[in-house]
Amino acid sequence: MPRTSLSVDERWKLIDSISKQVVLRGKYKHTLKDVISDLSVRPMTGIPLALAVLFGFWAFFGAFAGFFTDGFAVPAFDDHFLPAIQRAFPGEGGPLYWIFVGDPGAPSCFEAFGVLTSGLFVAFGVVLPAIVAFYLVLTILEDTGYLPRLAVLVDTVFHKIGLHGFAIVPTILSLGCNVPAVAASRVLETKKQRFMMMSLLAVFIPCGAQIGVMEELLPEYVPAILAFLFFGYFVTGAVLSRLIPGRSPEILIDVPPYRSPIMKNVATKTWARVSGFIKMAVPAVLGGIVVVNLLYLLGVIDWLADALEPIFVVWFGVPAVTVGALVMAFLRKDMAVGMLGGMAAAGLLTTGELITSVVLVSIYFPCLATFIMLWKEGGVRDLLKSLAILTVSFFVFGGLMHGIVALAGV
Amino acid sequence: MKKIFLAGNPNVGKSVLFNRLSGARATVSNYPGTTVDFTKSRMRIAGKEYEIVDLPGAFSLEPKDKAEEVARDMLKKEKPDAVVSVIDATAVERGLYLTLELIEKGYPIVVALNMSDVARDRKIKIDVRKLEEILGVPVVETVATTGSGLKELVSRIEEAKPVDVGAIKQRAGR
Amino acid sequence: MKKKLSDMKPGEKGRIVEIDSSIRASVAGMGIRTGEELKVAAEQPIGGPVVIVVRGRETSLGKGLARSIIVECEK
Ligand SMILES: Nc1nc2c(ncn2[C@@H]2O[C@H](COP(=O)(O)OP(=O)(O)OP(=O)(O)O)[C@@H](O)[C@H]2O)c(=O)[nH]1
Ligand SMILES: [Mg+2]
Repeated sequence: MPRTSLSVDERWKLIDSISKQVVLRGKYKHTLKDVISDLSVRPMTGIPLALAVLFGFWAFFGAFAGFFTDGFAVPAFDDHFLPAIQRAFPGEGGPLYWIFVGDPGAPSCFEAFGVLTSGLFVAFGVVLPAIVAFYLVLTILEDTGYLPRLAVLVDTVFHKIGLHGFAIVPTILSLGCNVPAVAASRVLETKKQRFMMMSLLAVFIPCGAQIGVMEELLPEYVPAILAFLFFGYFVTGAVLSRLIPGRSPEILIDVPPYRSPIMKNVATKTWARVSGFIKMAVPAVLGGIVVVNLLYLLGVIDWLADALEPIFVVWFGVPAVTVGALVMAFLRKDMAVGMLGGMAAAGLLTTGELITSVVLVSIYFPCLATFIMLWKEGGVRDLLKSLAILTVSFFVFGGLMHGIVALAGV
Repeated sequence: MKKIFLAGNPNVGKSVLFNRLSGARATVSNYPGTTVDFTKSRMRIAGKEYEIVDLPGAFSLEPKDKAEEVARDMLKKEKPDAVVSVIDATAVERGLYLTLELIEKGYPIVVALNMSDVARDRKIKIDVRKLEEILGVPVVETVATTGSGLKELVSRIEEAKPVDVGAIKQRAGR
Repeated sequence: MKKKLSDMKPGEKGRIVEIDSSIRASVAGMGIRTGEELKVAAEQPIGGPVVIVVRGRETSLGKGLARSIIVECEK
């Protein structure tokens, strides 16, 4: 068969002549959806609406997760499950007891740090409700078609750091889980933009599981911590966009019409994400506790803590015990924050030290799953470059946070 | 095993269609760029097993970003036996742009005019017969979210065939 | 009157008469091309993107891109 190729203009000419013969556009009446659509991309109305949407998201997240965690999980775990298992598990004080139950005298599941105590409590009691709440709202935002409109509104800011408004989509996905967010960076046009996006997500954006634990431990400081991390995200972005060669094309996106979410899709998608979390994250949380407890028992963590003590105390202003949580953060950041919470509850950390160390855990090494994803998407070279960015950011922003905490006198 | 690809502009309903046809659970959202990698699954038509692939959306075969690149590369590499070109019935023209590109490259095409419910609401009428006649490939109106038109689409996938753009030009009267 | 798309105000309508060759191919697949009618739906401040409606579909494009598109405006 002869294969003809058309130029762009020829193709459009042909389409015009086809369209004239087959498409008939009647008089279209504007609907309420169109009116809302216009209002949501006009700055005067769109920006207040965006703030309201984001605030609503946050409020729902906090209320939903709080309702289940504080209302059910905390009393169930701390008052009933924990004392029962502390009593029932054989061999108190032995290595198996330490790994599975943890501290026999711990008054709360955050402090015990055993697989069956802290592990189950953090995974199912704290993180699961947070993940469900997050994905429920995210899915509704996704399915109505609000995200591209948000992208238009925030474009100006992202444009300043060499990205464009659509970067908000991977960023919001990343607040759920960094792994699919790194993949979503593919919608950006150039290698420079994709590399910047992936690095910024991996370094600065805490995942929903981690935010869930933070909400449980220090609810009044979470907005400030998130604001600080976003500050780091934009400052680092601005620096990177000047250092990294390459083009930064502008936003060019389609804004689809608003649609009413289909309940079935909301349900299947939320379920797919939640069950994905249960399958992937829960084993990592539980396995992580085993690994970290073994490292404690073998004395590796104490050795590391001794070695790193000067840096931690002088530069970051946190005691060396936090090293254990940073080791945990290799595997799961939510559990790492949980460990820090346990340390604070046991009186090993002040609130200021807790805040700084939560920031450190956030910036510090991406969790294993994200690490693998970065490798897959960018190859070894980009991965190493991201890690270099991460190391610098860790020291700069960790040190800065130390300064802020010291000045604020928390 | 024969391979069927779903290609089309972003956000036209490829993944909904894919899920309907194969029973898979590809992510569906109302923004362009939801699917950023290909997803494979299986489906049966008249007792025969097919491989079906959901591609990231693209406006053109000259990729603008990495997701569009994945779509183009998959089409190039895997030589599909049929490409279902999914067109948003409320934006036929740009759907045809990609469809023509696919036709020019010699892929066997079936057109799914999806979102035909929205088109009806917006008072957009499409002469499906005429379009089919001009393009010389099957054209089926569908509503992926309700499943309407999917039976016909499936029954006509076997009719997918490569056509010459020159002939289309003639039939379009130019 | 001919204007750059970037100089149009929200609510203004017109017909595209020229698209700079540097961006022509990349916007063509989205249905933005010479001869097409458009309406500006919104404009973001300080060099932000514009939102245009072409054949009932909304597209957002950056100011730089909008500068490369010349529109014959109504009125
Ligand atoms: N009303 C209506 N909505 C539809 C139809 N098909 C899909 N949708 C909706 O259109 C949106 C996009 O659907 P997807 O299947 O994610 O689109 P896609 O083509 O896979 O998009 P990308 O992966 O981004 O390229 C979703 O909100 C669907 O619910 C349809 O036939 N009618
Ligand atoms: Mg899809």
